[in-house]
Amino acid sequence: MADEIAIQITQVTKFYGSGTDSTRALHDISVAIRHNEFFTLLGPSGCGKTTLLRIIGGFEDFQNGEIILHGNSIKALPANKRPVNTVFQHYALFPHMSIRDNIGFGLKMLGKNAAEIRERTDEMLDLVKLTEYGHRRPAQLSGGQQQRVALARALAPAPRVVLLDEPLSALDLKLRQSMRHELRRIRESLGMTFIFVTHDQEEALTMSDRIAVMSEGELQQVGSPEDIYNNPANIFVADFIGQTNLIPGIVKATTADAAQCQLAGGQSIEVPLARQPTPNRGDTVKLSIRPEHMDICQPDSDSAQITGVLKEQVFLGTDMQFLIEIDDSILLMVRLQSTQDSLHRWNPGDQVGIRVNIGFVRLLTS
Amino acid sequence: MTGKSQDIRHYSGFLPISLICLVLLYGPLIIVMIYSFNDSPSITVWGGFSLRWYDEVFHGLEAPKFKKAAFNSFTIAIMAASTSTVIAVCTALAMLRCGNFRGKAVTFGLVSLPLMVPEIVTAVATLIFFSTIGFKAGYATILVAHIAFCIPFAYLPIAARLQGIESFYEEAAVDLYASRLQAFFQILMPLMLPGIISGFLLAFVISLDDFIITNFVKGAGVETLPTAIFGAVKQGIKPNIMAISTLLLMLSVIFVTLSYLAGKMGSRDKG
Repeated sequence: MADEIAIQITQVTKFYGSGTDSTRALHDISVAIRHNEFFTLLGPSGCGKTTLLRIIGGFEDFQNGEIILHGNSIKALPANKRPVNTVFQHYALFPHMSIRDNIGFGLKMLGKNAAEIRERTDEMLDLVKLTEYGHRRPAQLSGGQQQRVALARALAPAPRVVLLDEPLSALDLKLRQSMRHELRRIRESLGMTFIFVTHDQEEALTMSDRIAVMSEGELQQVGSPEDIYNNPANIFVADFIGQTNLIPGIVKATTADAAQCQLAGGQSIEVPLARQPTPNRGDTVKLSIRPEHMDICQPDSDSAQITGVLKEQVFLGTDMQFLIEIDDSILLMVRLQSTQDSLHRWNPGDQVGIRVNIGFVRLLTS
Repeated sequence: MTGKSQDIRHYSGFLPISLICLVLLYGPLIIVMIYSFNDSPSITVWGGFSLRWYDEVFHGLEAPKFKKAAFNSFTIAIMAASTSTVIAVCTALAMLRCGNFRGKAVTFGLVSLPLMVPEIVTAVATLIFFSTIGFKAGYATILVAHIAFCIPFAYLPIAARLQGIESFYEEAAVDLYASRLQAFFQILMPLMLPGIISGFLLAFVISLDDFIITNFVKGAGVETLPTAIFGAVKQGIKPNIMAISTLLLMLSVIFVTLSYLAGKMGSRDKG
């Protein structure tokens, strides 16, 4: 049951327009979303994530490909026949109806009787903690409350899959953070498949079971948050998720478990290959090194793998960020926790050594 | 909202120009209203306050003629406004909710053209059309003509309202298993209602007030209030005409105000 596939998307391609004017919105998207999974589509605006969500919801057509929902093709089903409900970005609560009527609307359209609708609506109001507000109009509720009503309305008909289109983007930071926990709690208590669209990587990392990173209409990588963060498949993913240093380099030599890379500027570093594919000798690569995977030491210490000149240090609260120039044009960003004693040992202009947690360095070619 | 320097009242000549415009527009109306309460049978000499001309309108010699005309006017206005409102709603849905189609710009032009064409041209054209197809002039021709020229007046407030309603409401309804028809009647129409009411009332007043087209297409013997008034005036202006005009004016003011309030009502509880 745990591995049952909720939605199988196969080679979905979509163009807007026709002929030579057409623009590609989605290209050859294939992904399987598991039952009971919190699955996130993550990418910058215009990457096609919302288009893919709207295709699943039945609001957009597409040219090629197939979508299977729990074993049945839904390609030909109109939106109102799909057992899929959406939480819209702007909530789209019906302004002329009470909160109760909003939540009960889907059940009413399904032809459920009044007693059943009342019972289910009570249940949903309870779930989103808005029992007191059933008789109000949407305009009388705060943004966070409207958000919860939109969620309750989508959950009430007990759909197979819930689609969430950037539902937290209109909320302020504090509310957004508490709604993240709320969403996870509700999903876990109901056991439903959630497909969540966001451009906010922090949201994606903290909430998802798996994330699909998208760019320019293509899937870049699908994996768990840890996987995507630690093993980015390409330069786009490494750069988009979290912060990273991308340093140009050339592979000088490879052995079975390590590659010798020469960085721009002439310094060399040895990168283990235990968790990544072996590059070819002579390949031009980008070394992705996250700021938190480095430490600063004396330039002449044995543990210094790279040396450079400290240019700038910035206090960020929990962290201190250092910018270190290792070549004319290459600045490395290093981040250390503010609690470390060694923080104030260095001053701008100093020659410093950098110790790299080498197991986390990734060699990326595209 | 705007700074003092932006205030239009600071432009020299604002006050006299405004006063001239207001006096020219509303002076005659106010005089008609005042003299409708004149006790004297002369239309220019004031002879004290009286309601006799109102009594004359309802019980005088010409009362049956005016009652018949009023009945025609009201029944035509109600039917013309209802029909043109339905057509305007359908047109607005097609123009604003059905994507782009061939001839969309032309359609918009055709819908709003009657607002710009001189009414006399429409009147003559309508008359020629009816006589060409052999449609006997009378009550029915007035009704058909009124339905046609009321459409743009009903369309404008309805389309303005629909334009302000985001399409995600219908999407949400369809997402929640509503058919397109259910989505329209349960979600979109209630949201459009202020615009629909406003459009209906506007069309009603336009139909009630129309003279030129009506005068061309009405047959002999069928009168609406404006044509009956015109007919009576040709035999000399009597104060009872002023009483009728005042009543008609009050009615128009009430309907236009209602139309405005209906439009307002929507913008408040939106979103």
